[in-house]
Amino acid sequence: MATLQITAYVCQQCGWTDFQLAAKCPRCHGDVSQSTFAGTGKIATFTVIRYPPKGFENQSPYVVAIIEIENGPRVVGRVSGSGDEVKIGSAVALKSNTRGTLEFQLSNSASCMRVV
Amino acid sequence: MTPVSAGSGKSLSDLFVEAATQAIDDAGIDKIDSLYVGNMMSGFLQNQEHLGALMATALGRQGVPTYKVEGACASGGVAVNAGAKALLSGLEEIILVGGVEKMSGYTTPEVTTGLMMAEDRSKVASTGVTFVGLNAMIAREYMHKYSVTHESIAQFPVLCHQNALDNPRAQFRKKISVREVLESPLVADPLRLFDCSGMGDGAAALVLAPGDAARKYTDSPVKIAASTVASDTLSLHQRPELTTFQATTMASDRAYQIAGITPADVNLLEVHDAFSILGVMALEDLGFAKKGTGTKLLDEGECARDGKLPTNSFGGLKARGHPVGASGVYQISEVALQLKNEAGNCQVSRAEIGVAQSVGGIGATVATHILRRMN
Repeated sequence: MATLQITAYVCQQCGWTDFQLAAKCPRCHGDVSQSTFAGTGKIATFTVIRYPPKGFENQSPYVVAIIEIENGPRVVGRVSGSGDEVKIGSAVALKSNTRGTLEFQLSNSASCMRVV
Repeated sequence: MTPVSAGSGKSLSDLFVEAATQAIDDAGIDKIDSLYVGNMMSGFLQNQEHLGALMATALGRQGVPTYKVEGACASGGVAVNAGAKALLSGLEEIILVGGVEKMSGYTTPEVTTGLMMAEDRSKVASTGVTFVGLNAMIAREYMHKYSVTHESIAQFPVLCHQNALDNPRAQFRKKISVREVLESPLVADPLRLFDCSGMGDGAAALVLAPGDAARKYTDSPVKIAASTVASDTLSLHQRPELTTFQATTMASDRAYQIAGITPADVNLLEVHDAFSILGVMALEDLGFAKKGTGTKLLDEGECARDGKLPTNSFGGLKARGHPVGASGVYQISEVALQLKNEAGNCQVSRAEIGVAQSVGGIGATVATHILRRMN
């Protein structure tokens, strides 16, 4: 399956990677440059939103997680499914990237097995 | 301070004038040199901005310089910091600082959307995550990393509800148990309803004056020994560590240094327990417990009003209430009342030095104040 990519920013000095662009590295104030990362990683932590904001009322409950991208930044995104199978450390792959709003799916889920 | 209520029926101006008039009358002042107003959501919820001039007008004090201060849920604490710095300029003598928020009369999705304006719109709010959700992700990581149970963390809201029983201004004057916290409905897993502060209306105000002049206005002045603000990345996922708020550590380290004290000298605490986990983290980040051990202070009763470190003695954000832009001013006013020995049934004994910590967003802005009794 073709892996979707994530755009992030890498510090040329300390190597910190950040999902958000800043004028200088937020850790060492070094220069940063844009880079792309494969959208695979693991769940650092997650929650299930049961009382959503406006515009999301029809979608709840839904899972939001902070994801540690492999050799890349931490990002925040949705994870498909009810959350019952999500655990800290679960492997995930990016399913969609809508102008920086990310949705992941568990890597072992059936829908991920389709080879493109 | 007005009572915090979800059914006040009062406008932003009504709330602010009530609190400000109390503060002005209590100090017996006939002039104010400038006005600072902390608020977060009036633009979004009430379609009303320009709160500085609005509140000066409502007080009949138009003419004074006015400033609306916004730092998400830390707006009130940041407003006091701004006022304290203005005082240090020496250009003004009497400064009125207030905080106000009106959250009742709106749906939960509306208020939730307003609060999420404190986060990054394009990458975080766009996922549909809420502030409860962000704090829930911290709570899950905290429990996982330090093997701390939800039962232990739930002691924080239980403590706050206990303290609020004696506070006539508190929004929730109802005793709760750890079991009730754990059996309350899930809001954002693992956080449940009683882990979370509610939505309420409220305003608080206080008067700042130079130390040598303060005795003209009160027999028991309280000194602001330090007032600091620090910031962190706007978003949680931009940080290497989720279970500590670097901005709390930075603001409080600087405050202890300015005040010339250490955490061991502190005998009163007001922390920003918008969510149970934040109360526990604050005990650690402010230097009263090592990381992962904050709940031990609760186990040992140290945070109770008769303990060594009375914490949230009026009920905290959880039970006194959390009208977001006003909360920081409530906290600092409550510490001042304790140090003045005017805390009524909430009074603690032997308090000389108190700390108030106010958090904006997911720890992206933190204000810390150290208050000291003037003998």
